[in-house]
Amino acid sequence: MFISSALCYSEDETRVAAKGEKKMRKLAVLVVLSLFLLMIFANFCVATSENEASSKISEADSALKIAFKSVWEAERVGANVSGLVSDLKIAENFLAEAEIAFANGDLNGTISKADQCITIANSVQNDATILFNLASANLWKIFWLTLTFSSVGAIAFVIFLTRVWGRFKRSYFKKMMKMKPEVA
Amino acid sequence: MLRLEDYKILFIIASLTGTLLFASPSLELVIHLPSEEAFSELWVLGSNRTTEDYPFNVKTGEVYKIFIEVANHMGSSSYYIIKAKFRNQTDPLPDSSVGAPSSLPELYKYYVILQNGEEWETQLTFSFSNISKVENRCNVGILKINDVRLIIDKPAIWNINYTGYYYQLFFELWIFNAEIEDFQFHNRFVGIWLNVTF
Repeated sequence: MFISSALCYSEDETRVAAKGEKKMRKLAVLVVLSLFLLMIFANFCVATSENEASSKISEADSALKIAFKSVWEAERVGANVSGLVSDLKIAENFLAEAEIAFANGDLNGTISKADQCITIANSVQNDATILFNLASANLWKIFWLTLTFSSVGAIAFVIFLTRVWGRFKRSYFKKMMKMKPEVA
Repeated sequence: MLRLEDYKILFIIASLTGTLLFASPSLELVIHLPSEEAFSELWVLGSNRTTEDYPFNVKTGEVYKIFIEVANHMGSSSYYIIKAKFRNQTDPLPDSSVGAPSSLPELYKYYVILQNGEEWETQLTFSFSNISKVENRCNVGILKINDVRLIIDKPAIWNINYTGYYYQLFFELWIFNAEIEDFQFHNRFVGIWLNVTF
């Protein structure tokens, strides 16, 4: 009886130990799986923010190009763009800093600098468009004023000369009539 | 005394001249006379802002300094990019005859916006590390430009004629073309020769 109970006890112990081992194994698998998933997630996050930072730089680059084009067009129609060029230089510095931050792996810095560049570039673009419209309108005004001055001036001058010519012709004929014929 | 016909010709010439004088402001708006030649300048100076003290013999761990300068004479504001590239003696340089840039990748970029007549200057520092030598072959592992560390792994063969491992750090000037809304190689580049020593 004692032996059988002892055997029973050792059998129970083995069963408990086996159960514990199974649990531990399960736990280990769970931990490994969690770690694996965490690594994939972390990698995904890094990749996403790297892509985000890269696309932010492209966005800032495009914004700066568009802003510069607007400033250039405003300058072509005679607008004073000194202030806008100064702002563009600030935006361009932010873009350069964003690229350096990206090269050094500072993704948050990249996004922040690129965002600052985009904000300034967009503001410059808006101001340049307003300046372009104002300068264009002014250019047309100057064009029409000049054209009017030229046309009126030229016509008035021709009329004046025609009158002078008429008078001159009359006095010329009078002089001719007064002249005495001379025989050589 | 002149004949009436002669006076008539004089009056016609005077009226034509006067008309042209009055019309000249309008003609100026329509007819564009050729303006001054448009161009940009790009140059590199040594550490004391002269053309004499360029770094030449370089070695690992030392920091070298040069100045890059650009001037805009394009007649309007210009947007430039200066691309820094690094080559050995066999790598391609830009082709000035066709206006093509070097096919090498850019290592560092400067963005520069200048109004007409303006000049720009910046200081560039560079250093090398991971330089190795095997027989007659040298390899530059890392080039640091300003604060950016770049893995370049650029080899060079021993130059028998000039006795050295020669590399060139050069800068290409690109300009923004508003018509096509992109940058184009401006057909200007400058560079400095470097002899890697141990």
